[in-house]
Amino acid sequence: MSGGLFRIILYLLIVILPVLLTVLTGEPGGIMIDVGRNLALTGLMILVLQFLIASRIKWIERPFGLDILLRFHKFIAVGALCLLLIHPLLLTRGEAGWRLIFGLDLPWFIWAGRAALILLIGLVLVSIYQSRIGLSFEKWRLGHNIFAPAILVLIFIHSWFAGVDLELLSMQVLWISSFFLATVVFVYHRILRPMLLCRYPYVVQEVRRETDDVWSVKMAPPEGRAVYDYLPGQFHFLTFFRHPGLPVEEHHWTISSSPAKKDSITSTIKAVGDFTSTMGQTRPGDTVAVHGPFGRFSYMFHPEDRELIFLAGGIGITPIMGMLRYMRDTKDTRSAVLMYANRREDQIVFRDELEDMASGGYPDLTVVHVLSRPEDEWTGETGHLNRKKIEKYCGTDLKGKAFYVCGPLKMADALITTLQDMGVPQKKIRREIFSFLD
Amino acid sequence: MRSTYLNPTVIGVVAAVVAVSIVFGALRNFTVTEPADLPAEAAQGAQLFNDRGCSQCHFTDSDQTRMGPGLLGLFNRQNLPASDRPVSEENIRRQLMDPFRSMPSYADILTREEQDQIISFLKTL
Repeated sequence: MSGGLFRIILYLLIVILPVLLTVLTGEPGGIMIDVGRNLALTGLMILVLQFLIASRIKWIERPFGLDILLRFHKFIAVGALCLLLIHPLLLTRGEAGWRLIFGLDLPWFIWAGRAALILLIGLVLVSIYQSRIGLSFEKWRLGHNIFAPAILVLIFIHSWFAGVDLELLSMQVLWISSFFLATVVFVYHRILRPMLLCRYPYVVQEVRRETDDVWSVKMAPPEGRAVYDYLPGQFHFLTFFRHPGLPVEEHHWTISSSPAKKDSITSTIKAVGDFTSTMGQTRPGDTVAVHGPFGRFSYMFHPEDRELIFLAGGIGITPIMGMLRYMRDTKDTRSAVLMYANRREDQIVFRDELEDMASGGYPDLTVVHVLSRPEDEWTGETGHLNRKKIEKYCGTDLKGKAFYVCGPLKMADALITTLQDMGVPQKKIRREIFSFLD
Repeated sequence: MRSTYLNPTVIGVVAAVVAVSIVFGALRNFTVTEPADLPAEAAQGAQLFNDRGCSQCHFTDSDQTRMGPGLLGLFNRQNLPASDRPVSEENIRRQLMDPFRSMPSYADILTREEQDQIISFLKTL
């Protein structure tokens, strides 16, 4: 059994565990009511496990990649919300019970359940529509970190006092253990681990301007320590501590350096928002809390990939650059084609280094630049990455070739559709979804 | 591609959870046998007590309050716990039809015969 499948089955068993515990020992209340209870029990377990899923626990993340795990976290929250919305509807069982939903003179722990449900609806909707309502990532995360534990507390209170099944000792043990674990994980993830990372920060060695709005930040590990082990193409979370007045926020960026270099690690960052627009003000000597590595966007996870086709757009070049640098440093002889799309020539990142690699032999690299809005003197490919260009540089027989796609969401979606239309099997298309909220 | 499996996994997990909830919810009720020592009317009352959702709010093995007062030893008490009216069949019937405080009314839900069955069951507690 694969590691991913094992974890999914384990997840399912944990979610349905309360139902298994109560089936023969709990007090029946009628089918509709018992189904309503079960939906609440399982919905609650899903919410408890959300804290573990989002806490970047390596054992959980490893088979899936953090990008996929956090998307699962987002989608399953909608599932849990549906279960918990149906729960009170089934408990009412008709007109006599509608007071459970609409009545005002009800015990305080019913109100706790109502509050939890309303907050959960808000939390889920805001997370789904975060960009559309113009809420910054940082504000969204702050609200999430406040309301998610608040919901957990309210749910615990509601279920403890209102739940028939919580009279069972086994259920009480399960409930207390689960909520305790979620609390411990949350406190570790949000408070303890950041403190520990700050005790051994990396130090900025160099800030190099790659283009007008792209910076490479090279960081040295703490004194006496080596850079942590990572694979080319992975990413990490960085928190910069710079001049007072500059924001201190944690964000994730790809590692663009080669893991063959043990004395430093580099991330290449584009100014796309309020925080990243301050990257140019980062100075050597500034400290950085580093947490990584994460992700599965690396050819190292797929040793069977011998012919690599990299399709990159804009700053999506960074994980691919990490991979190409590692192939160069380890004198990897496999063949690789990089098709790199940008709007203008001055936006091409790592252009000189890519040319050097293409003539260096390791890997056997072909670089194709594609510009959508070139100046008149541009003689290279124009327009967008499309089927015609892929066939021109990769051939029409794509059997055995592995495609690594990284770039803006719409571009990546369109390219993947194109590759599928061209007959490339799903298992030969690799992609990283870089924005956790998309 | 990893993301291809994401939606089916989420849907699969939720579907499995719903299926388990329904199957085990049904199983829980069908594994219950009526107490052998209850008279027939009281046994039917016990079934109604569960089916009509009374057990959601009232303990039958305790006098502790859940959402409503516990009913253990109800007919051994002098007064009903919520309304403080004297314990009698008539006052219990009144509580079912025109409840004191936030208990929902069962006026349109329980027939006279069903009220008798529930009262028979309450007498056994």
